[in-house]
Amino acid sequence: MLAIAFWNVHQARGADVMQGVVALAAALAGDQNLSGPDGDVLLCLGEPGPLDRNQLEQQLNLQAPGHQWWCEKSLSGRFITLGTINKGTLSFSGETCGCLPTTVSRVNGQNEISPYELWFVHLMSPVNSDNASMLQAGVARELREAVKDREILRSNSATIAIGDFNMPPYSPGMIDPTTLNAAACRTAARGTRTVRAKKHNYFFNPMWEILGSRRTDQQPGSFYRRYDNSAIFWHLYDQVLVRPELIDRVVSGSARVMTMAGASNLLTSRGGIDARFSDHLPITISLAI
Amino acid sequence: MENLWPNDLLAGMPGSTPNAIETILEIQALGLAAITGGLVVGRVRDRSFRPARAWSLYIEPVDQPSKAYEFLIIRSADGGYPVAVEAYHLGDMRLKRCESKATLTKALQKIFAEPSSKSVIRTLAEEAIAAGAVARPEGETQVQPARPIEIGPVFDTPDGQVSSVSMFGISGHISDTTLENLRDRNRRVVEPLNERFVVTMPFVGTVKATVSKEELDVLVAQATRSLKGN
Repeated sequence: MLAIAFWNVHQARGADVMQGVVALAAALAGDQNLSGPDGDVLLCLGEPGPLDRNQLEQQLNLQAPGHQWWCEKSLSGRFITLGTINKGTLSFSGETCGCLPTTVSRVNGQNEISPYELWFVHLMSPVNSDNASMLQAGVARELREAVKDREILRSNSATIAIGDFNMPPYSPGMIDPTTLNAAACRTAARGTRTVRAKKHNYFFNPMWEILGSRRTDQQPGSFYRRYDNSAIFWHLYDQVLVRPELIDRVVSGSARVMTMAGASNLLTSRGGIDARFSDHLPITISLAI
Repeated sequence: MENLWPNDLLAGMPGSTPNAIETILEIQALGLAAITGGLVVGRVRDRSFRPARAWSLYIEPVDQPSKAYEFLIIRSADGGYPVAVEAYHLGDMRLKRCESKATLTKALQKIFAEPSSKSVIRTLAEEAIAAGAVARPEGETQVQPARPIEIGPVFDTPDGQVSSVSMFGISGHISDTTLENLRDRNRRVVEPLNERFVVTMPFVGTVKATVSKEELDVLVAQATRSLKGN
């Protein structure tokens, strides 16, 4: 089992961001329900800013022993990836759409080696845009085309995309057939959608299942802001999408927004996001791969 | 049979002239190859979904399109100004709005001069040099488009160490022994053929290829014929 997580750490402006990241990574690796008996973890930090990769790696190996932690900064500096799985199983290539694609090869026992196309996503924010929905649809289309190109190049449609999409699951950029076409229903997502004689492959978006009321066991958003024109205050901008062939590999109920990183509470006593860590909460999903 | 279409078929039609924004970017792509001695090359990709327009400037080490890095993207609501320029590697400064060709030119100048821009280009130039490329004099920097080749690091499997490989439209895994033979240009793997080379590589497990519907039809038909002994 592999736990894949993403956390937009807001340029590492928070005073305790390093501590939060280490605590989160250690918690993921230590929870067998999330990362299996081997503690297989892959975590991507979006917008790490000046966060020191070497120091982070050192702290992880010091504070979360029992694993060989590694950290890698992307060429653009927009992502730091870290994990416990063999770094050699990741094949990074360039960056496109402001996102970081990689191929993860997984070996389960004597089975054949299975490759997965994994995208760490950080799409453009519509803040200050003249037309937010048009921009969101545009950047979503760019990502969709880039995913399609890589699937063809690698002859592999087992794709997972996780990160900050800067739009909610119900935004046209996420659900329109010409954009990411990400369905809320795992049954619906197994087929294809034909619109004006053109077939569109689905993604399945498991994050829909956590929308709604906020409860102690359900955090319906990863970002908090009260916009004048909306009744939604917790925004689920950080999401994970999987292609239909991976739907059955998603561990039930594992797609979630984390409010705790080990013993560290990522929320304030009043329930808001604790700015000492970030302005986003991390998300995670576990896949039986 | 000669081509009977008139050469001026689309003359005077709106939109048939080269788009100025795209042309500005194309010139920068060519300029990058010139300034880096052909070690780092640029290409512009039209990523428009009409009526909105978007053009990306990708940069890559010469002959290594699998390492293409999207350096910046210019977005326009309708193909004209204003445009938004996004250079992903510039952090908080990554987004610039340009009202005219003059402001776009200034914004590009500023982006290209940023230390982090230079650092990205230097990294790609180092990758090109590591792969055996040499800087060429200005004027000799036109290069043919290369096919993507991607070989990941080796990792352990029950069958020994292997690496993920994607090249020339096929994907799979090859063993560390094959990689060593390739590294050493061992004759078991690399043989000259006129001015080219034949590379012979055994794959571990299955090999995948993406084909079109038409190619699949041919594959299926030929497999059927083969099984019949034809």
